[in-house]
Order: sequence, then C-alpha cells, then structure tokens
Amino acid sequence: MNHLSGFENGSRHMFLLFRVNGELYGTPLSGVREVVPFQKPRRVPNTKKHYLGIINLRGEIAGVVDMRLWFQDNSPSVDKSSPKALIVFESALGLMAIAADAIETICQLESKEIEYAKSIPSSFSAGGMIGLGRLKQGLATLLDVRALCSHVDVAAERKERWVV
Amino acid sequence: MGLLGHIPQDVFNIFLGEAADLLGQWDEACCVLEKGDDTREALLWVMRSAQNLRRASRGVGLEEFAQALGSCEELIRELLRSDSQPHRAVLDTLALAHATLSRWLVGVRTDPDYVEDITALSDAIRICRSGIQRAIAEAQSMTAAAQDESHALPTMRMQKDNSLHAVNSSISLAQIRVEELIDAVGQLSTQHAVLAQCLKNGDRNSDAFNNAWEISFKLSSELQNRSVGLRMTSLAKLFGRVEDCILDLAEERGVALQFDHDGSDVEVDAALVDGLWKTLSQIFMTAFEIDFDKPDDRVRVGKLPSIVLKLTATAENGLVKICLEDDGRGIGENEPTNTSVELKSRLEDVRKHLAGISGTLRVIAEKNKTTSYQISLPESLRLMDVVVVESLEQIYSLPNHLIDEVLEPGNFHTHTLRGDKQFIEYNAKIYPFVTLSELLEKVPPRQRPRVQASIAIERAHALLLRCGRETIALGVDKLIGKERSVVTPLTPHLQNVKGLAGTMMTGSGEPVLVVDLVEITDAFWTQRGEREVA
Repeated sequence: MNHLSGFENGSRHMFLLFRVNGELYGTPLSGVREVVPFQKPRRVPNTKKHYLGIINLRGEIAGVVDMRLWFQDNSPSVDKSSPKALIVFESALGLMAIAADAIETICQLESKEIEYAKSIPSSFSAGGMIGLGRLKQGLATLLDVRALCSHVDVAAERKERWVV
Repeated sequence: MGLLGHIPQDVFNIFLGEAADLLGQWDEACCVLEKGDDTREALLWVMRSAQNLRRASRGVGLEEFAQALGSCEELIRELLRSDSQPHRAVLDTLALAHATLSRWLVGVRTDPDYVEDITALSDAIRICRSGIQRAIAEAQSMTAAAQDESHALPTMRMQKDNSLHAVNSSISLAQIRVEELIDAVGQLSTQHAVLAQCLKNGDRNSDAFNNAWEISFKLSSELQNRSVGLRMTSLAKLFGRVEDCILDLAEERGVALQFDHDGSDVEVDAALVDGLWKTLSQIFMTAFEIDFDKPDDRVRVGKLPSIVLKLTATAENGLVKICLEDDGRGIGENEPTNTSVELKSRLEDVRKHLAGISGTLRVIAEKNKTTSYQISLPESLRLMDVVVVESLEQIYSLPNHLIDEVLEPGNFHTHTLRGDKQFIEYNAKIYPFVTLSELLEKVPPRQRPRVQASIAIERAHALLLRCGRETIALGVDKLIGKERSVVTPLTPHLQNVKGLAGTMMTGSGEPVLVVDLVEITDAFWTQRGEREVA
C-alpha cells in the first residue's frame, strides 16, 4: 500500500512546519513522536557525515540526522548557530531524530493547497516527498520524514573507513 | 471537572481533526486487508494509526479511549509476531474497533466526557488474541519437536543476529524466576512511593527517605541481575549432547575413549548455547582427526591405551571458561609440520565462530602429553563487565573479559619499526601497539585535521587484548573506570556500522558505545597483513 495515498485522498492534513538552513519544511504531524530541545549527540565512528550521533531519549537510544547534510544541500549556510530542536520519529530503523534550526508552527493544509510530488522533479527516495505546500509564509517542502528515516543509510562506505 | 476544563477548545478541535484523519487511514488499511493484498504492510499501517491516535488521545486526556487503542495495538502486534495471515475474526474485530472508535469520537465531539461502551470490542479482541496465542504456541511446540528430532549441527548465527539483536526468538523460563522478578518490581514500586511521599512532605533527610533510597538502590541492582538471569541456562544439556556425540563418534571410528565432564551446572546466556555447540563440535572433531594417537603409540610412551577426554566449565567474575582437554599427541599450532598447519587453519575457523559470540580460544599443547582447548566467553551478552575509556575526547566501553591486563603509562617500553609500526615491550614480551581511535576511525591522526592529534604512545594507557590471532596493546587516552552495565542491542540503523557491539548508559544518562573488540582487532590483523604483502 502506498502510504502517501492517504494524503492525496483526504481533504485536510496536519503538518509540523520547521526550518533547516532557512528553508521551510513540513512533515505530517501524525508521524512525529515528539519534539525535544536539541542536545548534543554522542558521535558514532564509521558513520556518514549526516549522521550526527546518538542521544538518550528517556532511556531509549535515538539516532540524530542533519537534514542539510543528508540531502546534500550545498547552499551557503544561513544559520551558523547550532540547531534548536530535535523532531523525533519512530521509523522502521528505530528511533530517529532530525535536527531543526527552528520549529515554526502546526498548520492544516487542504489537498488543493498541496502541489503533489508527482508533478515535481525530485531526488528524494520514493515515498519521502509529499509535495509543496502553499502557505502564507511561502512555499514549504512537504516531506514524510518518518518514511525517509526508514531508509536512511548511516554506515560509512568501505573506502571511507579503510583509509590507512 | 470536565475534560475541556484542562484542554483548550482549539487544541481539542485539532485533536478531533487529526483523529478523523487517522481513522480514515485505518479504514483504508482495513479495505486493503479485506482484499488480501500486502497484508503485513496494511497491518503495520493500522498499527501506526492506532499508535498515533493513542498518543494524541492521551495528550487531550482521553485515557479510556487510549486504553482501547492500546488493546487493538496488542492484537495487531501479536498477529505480526505470529507471522500468519489475519483470519476473518481478526478482520471483523479491526472493523468493529474502527466503528466503535468512530462512534466514540462522534460522542466526544458533543460531550468531551462521553465514554463509549466497548464490551463487545474487548470480548472480540480477547477471543482473537487467545486464538493467535494458541496458534503461536502450537507452532513453537512443533518447531521444538522438529529440532529435537534433528541430529544435524545447528546453524551458527553471528552474535549480531542471534543474541544482542534477537527480536522474534523466544526462550522458556522457570515460572519461579518470573515470579521473583515480579516481586522485586513490586518492592521497588513500594520504595518509589515512599520516596515520592517523603519528597512531597519535604522529608529529604528523614530516616524513611534514606532507608527507601538504600533499598531502592539494592533492588535495582537485584532487578538487573534477575532480569539477565531470565536468559541464563545451565550447560547440562549442552554437555550431555557433546558426550553423546563424542561417544557415538568414538564407537563409529573404533577409538577407545574415556569421557568425563565437570561443571555442567554453570549457567550461560541461552543465546550463546548454539554458538558454543558449534565451537565445541569443531574442537572435538579436530581432536579426533589430529590429536588422538593410536593405542600402540600411547602404550609405547607410557600412556593408557584409551584416550582420556575431559570437558570442564567454571564461572568467575562474569566470565565462563570451558576447557576440553585430551591426553593425545599434544600438537601445537605453531610447529613447522603439515599437521600443525592443518590444525592452525582449523582453529582459525573455530576462533572466527567463537568471535561471533564474543568468545576467545587459547590452545596449550605439551608434546605427547596433552592438548588443552580453553574457551573464555562472557556469561551474558546483556550484562557485561566493561572498562570505560576515553579516546580522542569520546567515551567508549570495552568488554572486560577480552582485556588481559591494563598497563599504566610509563610501565612499558616503546619501539617503532620502519617509522610507522609501533610496539611496546612489557614483561620481556613484545606486543603490537595501536590506538583505539585508529582502529575505530581507520584514519591515522595526521590525515584527520579536524580532530586533535592522537596521544603519544608514552602517555597512553595500554590494554593488552586477548582476542584474534595474537595479543595486541590497545592505546587509550584515559581510563575512566570499570563497571557492570546492561548492554542494549544496537538500534536497527546502526547494525551495519562496523566495530560496535551495543550501547549502554552512564550514570549521568549519557549513551556510550560498546566496542566490538573482536571485530576491530580482526580488521587490524587483516589490514596489517595486506600492508605487509603490499
């Protein structure tokens, strides 16, 4: 079953809006487990650059991913300060958190306010990109971050590890 | 006070909107289930909807609604565990749950304190769950019977699939162990209640507070041991199996043999038993084919005509030692003979398997007298004695049973060969030296400008590691201490990352990585071999 079919069929959808490097993103609120203040992750060796490490979330280990590095956003850094929040998801690969510069708001979008991914060229893996949302603040990239986190690859490539 | 006395109306409206969406997804997944397409994915989708709805409803104070959702989740979880197709009754129950919850939401929309009658739903869930549990039990008993009938060697599964990360496997337990655990949990709850009451009354320095604090501390340590104890099993069955196999083999090959065993009451983590059987069977096959001498040869050197084979087990400080000793030819693995070369290659294989369960093998041979195969492994892979160290400003835990000795800086001499290979000299022996950061990161410090330069060998603590082919000295910046910790399996997204065995929490709540020393030292030897060839 395509889990995005729910978005295309329903009429209203709740999204959590957040900013990463100045860009506005939205993710379905139903997929978010919680939002917690940013805490510095413990670095894990032999992992890719976008994987910042692990944190203790009330006794559970959660992996923290830097979305900007993950999506290879090469645009100049807008906000050089450390992220302010972690958006936590229960993905198929365990508890994962996305580092966000700021949490904007929760909004409801009607189907007609979403330009669905089918019509947008995108390099996101299938199932991750929902589309673009037209908001008062401008356009927001709507991603099913939980689905994306279920496919994130964190182990470093062999050549990255065996440099000696 | 009514529900909306606590929750603002606009937040409640957001919840109602979200709940309607989630029930819509639930309904859609039920349609997929009815069609019979992609049932597992559809069940997961219903479960996610139920989970999200439960969390959201709890957030607005609809506790009974959340509980009803919790029982639906349990039903789906059991169905997923059973790995069977959902039958008619389950589909009807999920549809009934959808209808009941939808009615409940309609009721709540007009009266936030409305509670729907869920007797029919609860009954349906209970009946379905007992049916599924019965089916699981039947399947398990059939599997167990099939395993008992089979004489084939069990398939070795590596540690990461087998023990630390077992998700769907099951173990049988003596009921008394579960009862003791429940008792301990009950006592701990009572002490927590006392502590909470004292804090509420501001009696932080009272005797009652101090007493409850002390008892809680003891109980949590006891709980840790008891819960790990649930996974423990005695070696009796394994030793019996080894004995049967050895005696059958001796009879088949016409070898006169006297077998004895001791220490079968020693307990190990049940997850290690399969790996141990594989290892022991490889060892006794090696002994049969390489080490056992002929009766005439034995008599000529003053031995009894029949081989004496002894299997012993002891447990000490969280470490289990199993020794298989024979009075055969006493062939060492480092002699310049063809037999030794064959022995070495077979033992390499055994060591590789043993590494999968965090164990090590040492072979001590005395020419024409005895060969002793000594296996060391931790009692459990969940509760481990670890050494906590710092390396390049990162904290790591290292399994203590693989560390032979800890050398303070200045207690050993250092040597450098051809400008890059480092060695230390300690007690008249030479050990190759490598730092933990180099092994973990695989990048020499000079190629990593972002991190500070590695410590000088003279200022390093060196840990003598007894794993892999030879002992190596592992350099770390600082020794933080030794402790017994519960090791948590790696989360699924970290399972492909090399060099990690699990995670644990420090007293301050920080996560610490447990290093897979066997894997990283093995990589060290492979790499060094490749470089020497180059």
